[in-house]
Amino acid sequence: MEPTAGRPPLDVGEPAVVSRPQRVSRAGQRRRPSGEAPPLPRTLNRSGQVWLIAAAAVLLLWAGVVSNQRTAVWVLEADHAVVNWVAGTRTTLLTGLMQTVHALGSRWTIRVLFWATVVALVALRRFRHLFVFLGATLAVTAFTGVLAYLFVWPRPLGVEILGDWSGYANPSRPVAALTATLMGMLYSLAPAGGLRRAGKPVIAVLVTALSFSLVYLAVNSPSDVVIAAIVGVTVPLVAFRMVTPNEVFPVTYHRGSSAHLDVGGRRGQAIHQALEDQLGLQVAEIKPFGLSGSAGSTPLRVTVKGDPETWLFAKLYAGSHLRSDRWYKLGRTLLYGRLEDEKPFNTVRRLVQQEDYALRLMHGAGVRSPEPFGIVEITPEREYLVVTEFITDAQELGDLDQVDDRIIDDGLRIIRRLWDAGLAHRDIKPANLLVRDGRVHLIDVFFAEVRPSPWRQAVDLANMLLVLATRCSPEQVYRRARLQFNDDEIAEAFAATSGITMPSQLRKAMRDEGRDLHKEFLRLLPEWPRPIAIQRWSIRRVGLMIGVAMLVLLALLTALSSFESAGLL
Amino acid sequence: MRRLLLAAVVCLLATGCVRPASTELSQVRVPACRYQGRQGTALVILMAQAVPTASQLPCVELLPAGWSVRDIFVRNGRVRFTLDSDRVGTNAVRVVLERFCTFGRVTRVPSDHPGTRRYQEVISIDPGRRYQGAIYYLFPGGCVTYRLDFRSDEQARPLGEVSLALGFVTRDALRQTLSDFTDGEVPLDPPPEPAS
Repeated sequence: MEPTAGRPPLDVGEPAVVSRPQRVSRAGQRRRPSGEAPPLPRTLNRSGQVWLIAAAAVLLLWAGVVSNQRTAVWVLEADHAVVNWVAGTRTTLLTGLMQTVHALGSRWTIRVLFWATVVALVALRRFRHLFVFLGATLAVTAFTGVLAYLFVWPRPLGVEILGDWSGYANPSRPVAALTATLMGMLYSLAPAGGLRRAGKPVIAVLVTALSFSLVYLAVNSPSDVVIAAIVGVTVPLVAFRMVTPNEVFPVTYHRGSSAHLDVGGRRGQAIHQALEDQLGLQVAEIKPFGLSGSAGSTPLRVTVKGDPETWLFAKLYAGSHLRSDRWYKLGRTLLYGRLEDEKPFNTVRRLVQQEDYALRLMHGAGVRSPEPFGIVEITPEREYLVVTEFITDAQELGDLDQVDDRIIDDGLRIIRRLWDAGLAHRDIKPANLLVRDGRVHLIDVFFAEVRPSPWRQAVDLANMLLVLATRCSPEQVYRRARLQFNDDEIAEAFAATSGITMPSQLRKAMRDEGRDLHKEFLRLLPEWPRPIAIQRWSIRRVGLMIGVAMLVLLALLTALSSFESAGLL
Repeated sequence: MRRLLLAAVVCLLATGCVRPASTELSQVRVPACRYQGRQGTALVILMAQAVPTASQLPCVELLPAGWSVRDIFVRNGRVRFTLDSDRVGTNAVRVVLERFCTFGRVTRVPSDHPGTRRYQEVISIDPGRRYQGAIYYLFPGGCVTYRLDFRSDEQARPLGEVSLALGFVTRDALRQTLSDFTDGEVPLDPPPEPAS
């Protein structure tokens, strides 16, 4: 039967059947009582707390010095006694040695260490660590600079000063800057474990050596260097432990997407515990799975104990994914105006709720997609798992040698179901189409949208046609498509789609094929459709572009000014 | 943990609140010749440490209306601060204390500060628009330069104001101030080397 311009028949092929998940053994769930820490709490550790107490003591001491003249005199006298005694031990040899050690605190030493770390972190694309490093180092230099200005503390009195210095003495800026830079290097470049443990005593030795040389040369008093060291350790330590906790953002040197979080160690234990408590699953093993096909989350395969053991699929989402999503959407808004639903999520919780909701919608609409098992909280508002059925014994559509009419019909029927249910998947690509027993399953429904624009639905159709055509001929796919979609709909699909609307994996698959499938489809159409423009210009987009450019410029100028005042330029 | 953070914040706030930004604070942060009845401030003590040989330290006596101190820089061997004026421009006077001075074409004139020798130098005059010159004060162990740059048709009045605004504290007076502050426990300078 020739298709008509009207609504095409829906009864082509077999009806879409929701896949039947395997039976998963579930035990009792446990509710976390009020006040109990979540599975993966963020902690400062004991050492962090000790340093924070030391910093509080420093602040108390400063408050005492400022508010009470007796305290100030007492500190001056104590410093004088120590510096005087140390000066009594001066020898020509020791003085030469101390003047050499003094170079550790020179601006050039700190500049070299600082910029080398910045370059290394940029090269390693470890941007979160980079920002914490920049922030912590600049905070320490700015904080010590402001405090030095506030406390107008003199250099050691009554002793000949043998080294170079500038400005007020307390806190010692060379010690604070060196300590903060070394701590930043340690926490952003050294992986947790042996190397980081070994680095701590090295830093302690270097900072102690510099501090002693400063006291020996009477450039600083003991209180200046002790306080500076405490500030220099505490600020980066707290910043790194709070913003880039090792369990969440480990420093590693193996290759992989920055979107993929480490699921070993404490996080692995937390995921085990959370799955058991919240879903009643007895977990045997958690392993990363299909990392290459995922850039926005960490996909996992969860082995559930039972007879036989079963598998579940889980996606781990964290704040980093939320931020990536935000940047991705901002980038698309700037580059193309507005594609569809480019409003960012506010929280990780909202993000996982969207995915779980989309899964349930798909399931309810009769689209063959994984059965949702629910959301698991790892750290409130920071990390969540979306758990679904694991589609076993399936192959990615892109991995098949070729597809037959049955698979083509099944794939196209998914699009028809989506259209009828008022949904769009928005990420139709080979990795998201699994084939098992000749049936196509649609996965990764994170981008799904309810009541999308006709343009977006048309793009879904075009992408499905293109994916299928990578494994057979456009002629075959077009012939089968005309059984479920009319010529106008297919033409609209190819009018709507262009490079940017195709997922990058699909573009790569077509490049690998060495064929321009889009053009081949266009040749099959009765007439070439007029392309639908993607670029949307609006006052909002122009305003956003100007705003972003100004913010970038402001950030750059602020950073340059901060670097300059911190002596790092 | 929260208590710790709270304590730290309270301390920080307390530190800031004990002496809110006041005239007292700003007095300490300018090289004032006198503060609370004593000669010199903490900043002048730091200046004395920068040039340990200087028997006199430059300071601000009383700023005439429209003048302000800015850009104070102290390091070993050199002290610098600047006076801005709302009439003769920013950087109107740059005061530098060093162990030695390099003179241009100077003329010796009677000094208005005891214990110092005064020299003057006219660098350039753009009649009615700009005057550039220098005043040098020489004293045992140091030299102070006032580098003048008046962007105005006036010359005599700002020069008079500068003479009123800037003065000197003797090192001995500063020693006494520190001794009073620390009950004589902490001296300003190291004890003199025993004569060999």
